Amino acid sequence: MLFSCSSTLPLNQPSVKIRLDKLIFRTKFAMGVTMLAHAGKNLFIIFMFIAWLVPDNVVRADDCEEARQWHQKGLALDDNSEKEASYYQKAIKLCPHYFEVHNKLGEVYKNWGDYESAIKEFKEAGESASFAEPHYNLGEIYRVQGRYDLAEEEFKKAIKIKPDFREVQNQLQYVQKRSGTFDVAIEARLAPVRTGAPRSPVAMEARPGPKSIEPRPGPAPIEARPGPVPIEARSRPSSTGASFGTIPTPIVARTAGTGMTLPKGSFLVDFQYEYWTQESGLEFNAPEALAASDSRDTDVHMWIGGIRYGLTRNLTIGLFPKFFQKTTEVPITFQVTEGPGRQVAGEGIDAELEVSGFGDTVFLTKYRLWRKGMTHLSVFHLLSIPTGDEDETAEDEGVERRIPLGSGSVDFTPGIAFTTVKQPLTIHSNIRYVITDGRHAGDEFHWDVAVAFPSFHNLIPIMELNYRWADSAERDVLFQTQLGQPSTFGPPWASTPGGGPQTQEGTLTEEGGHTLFLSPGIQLFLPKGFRAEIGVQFPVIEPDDGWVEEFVFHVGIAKYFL
Amino acid sequence: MTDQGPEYGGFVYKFCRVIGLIFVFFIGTVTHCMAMEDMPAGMAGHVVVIEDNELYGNSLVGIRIRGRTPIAIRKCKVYSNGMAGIVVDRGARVTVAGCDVFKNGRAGINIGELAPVTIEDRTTYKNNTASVQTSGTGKKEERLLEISILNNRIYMNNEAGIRSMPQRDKKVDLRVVGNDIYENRKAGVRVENNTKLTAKGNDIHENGTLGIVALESVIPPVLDIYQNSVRFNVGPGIHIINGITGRIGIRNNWIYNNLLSGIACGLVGDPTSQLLNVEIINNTIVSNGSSGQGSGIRNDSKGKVTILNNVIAYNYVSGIMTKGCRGYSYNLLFANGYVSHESEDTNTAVDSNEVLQYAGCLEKGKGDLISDPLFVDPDNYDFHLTHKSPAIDAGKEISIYDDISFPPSQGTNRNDMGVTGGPYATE
Repeated sequence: MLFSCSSTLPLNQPSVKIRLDKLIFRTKFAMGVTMLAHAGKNLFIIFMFIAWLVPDNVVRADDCEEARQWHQKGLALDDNSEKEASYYQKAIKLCPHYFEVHNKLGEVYKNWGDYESAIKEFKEAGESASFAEPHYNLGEIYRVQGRYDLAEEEFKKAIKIKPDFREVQNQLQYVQKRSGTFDVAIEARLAPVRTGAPRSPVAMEARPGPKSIEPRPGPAPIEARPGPVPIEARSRPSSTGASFGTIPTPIVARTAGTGMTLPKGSFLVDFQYEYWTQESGLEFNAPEALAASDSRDTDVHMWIGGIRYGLTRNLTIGLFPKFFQKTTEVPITFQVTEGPGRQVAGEGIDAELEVSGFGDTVFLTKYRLWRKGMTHLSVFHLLSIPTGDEDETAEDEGVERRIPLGSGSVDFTPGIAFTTVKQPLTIHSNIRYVITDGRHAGDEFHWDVAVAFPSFHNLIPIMELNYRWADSAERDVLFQTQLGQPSTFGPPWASTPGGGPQTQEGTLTEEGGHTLFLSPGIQLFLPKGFRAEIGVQFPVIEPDDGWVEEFVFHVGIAKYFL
Repeated sequence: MTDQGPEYGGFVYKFCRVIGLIFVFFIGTVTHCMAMEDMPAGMAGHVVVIEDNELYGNSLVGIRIRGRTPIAIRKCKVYSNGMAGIVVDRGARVTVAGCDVFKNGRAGINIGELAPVTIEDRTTYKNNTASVQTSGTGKKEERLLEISILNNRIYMNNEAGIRSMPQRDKKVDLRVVGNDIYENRKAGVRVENNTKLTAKGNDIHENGTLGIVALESVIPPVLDIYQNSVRFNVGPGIHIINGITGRIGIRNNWIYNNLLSGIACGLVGDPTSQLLNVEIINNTIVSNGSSGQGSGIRNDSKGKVTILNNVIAYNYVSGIMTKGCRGYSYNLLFANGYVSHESEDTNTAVDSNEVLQYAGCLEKGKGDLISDPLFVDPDNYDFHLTHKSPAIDAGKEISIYDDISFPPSQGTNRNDMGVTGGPYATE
C-alpha cells in the first residue's frame, strides 16, 4: 500500500511516500472497519481513521522540512566535501524521495569519481518526471565511460523534460558524433570530404546487404542441362536457393549483407549493379545418351534496389528486391546413330538462352546488441522470400531450358556482425549461416573480414577477405525423351512410330567446398548525401569441383535520408 | 599591526593588528570598516600591513584605501559589507593576498585609479557585482593602472568575475594569471576600452554569459590570452567585439563545451566593427555550441582575424565561420556541424562535409586538414593529441611558429596544430 502526500510540496522537493507494513495494516484495517461501522459514513471519521492507520515508521512532512534544512546546509557548503555529502545523506534519510538532494548527492559523488554511487543517486532523482538535471548528470557519466548509447538516451530524456536545456544539447550532439551517428548524418546530408577514416562503426558494420541475398550465380547449371528437354519435374531450380552467401562485392564492408544500423527514423536507399561470370561444374547422372557437357558459362547481370529504415535506435529493417538478366550458353552435342547399335558424336548446337525478371526478395532485420565507443556488436537475420519465377524458361535454336530466377524456397540466414574502429582503421567482421531446404542448394557458412582505411579526402579503400563453405546438394530430376530417338538428339524432334515421350530419372549434384575471395574496392563520397562504390571480387582459393564465380564486378550508389 | 614582510623591505610597521587603530573608524557603523589615507609624514616608503582581520557588516566598504602608502592586506575576511569589500581609489601600491572577500553589496574589490594593485592567492565570491572591478575614474590626466590578479578563486559573483572598464583617458594594464574563475553570473573576465589584458593560465568555466569578453570600445583593448582553459561557459568561450592582438594574441587555449562559439569576433548582424586585429593561433577548440548556434571560431566583423594552426572539432554548427571565407589556414577541422536526428528540417542540410566545416565556404584554407585529430580521451575532456594525430607537424611551416617544448609538442620542430604546438605550448 502506498500513499503519496507530495501535493503540498514544491516540484522536485521532498515528496513523502508512506509505506505501510502489511501486517500492521491488516490488523488495523479490521479494527478500522469495526469503527467505521459504528461511525457510519462520516467523512471526518474516515479521515481520522486513515490518519490513525499511518504507522509510526512513515515519513512525515516535518521530516521533509528538516531534510530541506540539511539540503540548504549542503548547498551553502558547495565544496564537494564529505561534510556536504553527509548533509545530503541526512536529508535523504529523513525524506527518501527528496529528488533534488539525490541529485546533489550524486553530483558530489560524481566529482569524487565515484560513478557507481553517483549513478544510483541520479537514477533516484530521475524518478521525478519533471526533473531534467539528473538525466543530464547521468548522461555525462555515461559519456565519460564511453557508453554513448546510454548517454544519448539520458540526454534525450533531459531534453524532453526541458527542451531549452542547452548544456544537454551540446552534450547530445557530441555523443551522437562520437557514437557514429554523426557519420551517418554527414554521409546522409553531405557526404563528400569525409576526411579520413570511416570512423563510423555504424557505417561500417552496416553496409547494405542485398549482396548476400542475391541469388547465387548458379542457376544456370541446372537448367542449362542439355539433354532431352529437361522438363524437370520434382526438382526445382537450384541456384537461387542458396543464394545468400556470395559477396560479389567487396566494397563497403557490406559483406554481411546486413546493411548499416541506421538512426531512428532515417532511410538509406541504394542501387547496385553486379555482373559476374561463372563456370558451373555439375555432376549429372542420367542415361548416357542424354549426357551433355558438364560445364557451361553463364553471365549474370543483377540489379538490386534496397531500402533500409531505422525503426529504433538499434533496430534496422530492410527490403531488397532484385532483378536479373541471365544468359547461358548451352552446348549440345548430337549423338548420331551410324548403323545398327553404333553411335558416334555428331555436330552440336551452341544455344544461347536468356531470361530476365525479378528474383527473390530479401527482408533484413538487424539489431545492435551492444555498443561501446566505436565498437559494435549486432545480430541480424536475412529472410529470403521466393518471389522470383522458379520455372522461367528460355528457348534458342529449338533448345528450351528452364533458367529459374527465384529459388522457390524460403531461406533463413542468421548472423552476427562486429565492427570496431582502431584509428585510422575500421575493421568489420561478420559470420552467417545460410539455411536452405537442402533440395536445391546446400547450406553455407560465411566469414567476412573487411578493413577500411583512409586515403584521400573522400576516398576510402576497403579490402576484404570472404570465406565461404558450401555444402553439396543433390537433387532428383526427371527427363522426358522421345522413345526410339535420340538418334537425333535435340530438335527437331522426330517421333518414332510406336514411340512417344518417355520419362527417365536422373540426379544432379552440385558440388560444394571451400572458397576464399579477395575483394578490393573503393568508396567515394559525393555531394548531396550520395556515396558511390566500385569493387571487384575474385577467388584466391577455390574447390576443385563445384561452382564458383570467376570474377565479380560491382558498382553501386547510395543515398541517405534523415 | 604586524611585522613587515621581507618582500617589502625596510622598517616594520605594525598598524592594525586588530580593528580599531588609528585608521579604523566606526566599526559596524554606517561608514567604512577601515579607511586608509596617506601615511603620516616620516612613514613614507614603508608598508602598512592589514592582516588576520575580519571585516564585515559595514554599511559601506570593508576597507577603503586612498593615498600613496604601500599597503598589504593579508589573510583577511572581508564580507557582507554594504558596498565593495575593498576599495582602492587613489595612489597606493596595494597587495591583497590570501584574503576571502565575499558577499559584499557591490564589487569584492573595486579599483578606481592608481598605481599597481596585486591580488593573489585569495578567494572572492558571491559579491554583488564583479569580484574585481577596475573603473579608472577620477582625474582627467592619463594614468596607467597596473593590476595583477594571481592565483585566486573568483566565483559566483553577481556580475563578472573580473571587470575592467577604464574611462577613455585611463589605461589599465591587467594581468590575470593562474586564477580559477567560475560560476560568475556574467562573464568570467570582461574588459573594455583602454585595457591591456594579459590572461594566462586561468581556468575559466561555467560563467553565466561567457568566459572572456572584450567589449566594444573607443580604444580597443589589447589582448594576450594564452594557455587558458575556457570551458562550459554559457555563451562564447572568448568573445572579442573590439580588440587587437598584443605581443602574443589568443594562443594555446583549451576552449571547449562553451554553449556558443568557442571564439567569436565582432557582433552577429553588425559587421561594421573594424577595430579588430586578432590572431588566433594554436588553440584547441572542441564541442562548443548548442541550440543551433555556435561554431569553433566565428568572425562576424570586417576586422582582420587570423586563424592559424588550430584544432577545431565537434563544434555545433560549423568549424570556422567567417565573413568572406578568408583568414584561415593550417587548421585541422573535424566533425563540426549541426547534426540532429530529431530535426526534420532538411533545409538546413548543406552540400558537403567541407562546407559544413566552414559554414558554407566552399574551399578549405591553405594547409587545412579535415581529419580526426585523434585526441587522447575526448570523452574525458582530454584533448591532447595521440602520437598518430594528423595535427602533428602539420601547422604552418615558419620558424616563428615552431615547436620549442617537447613534450607537449610531438614530432619535429614543425608546428603541431592545437594547444600542444607552437612556441607557447606548455604542459
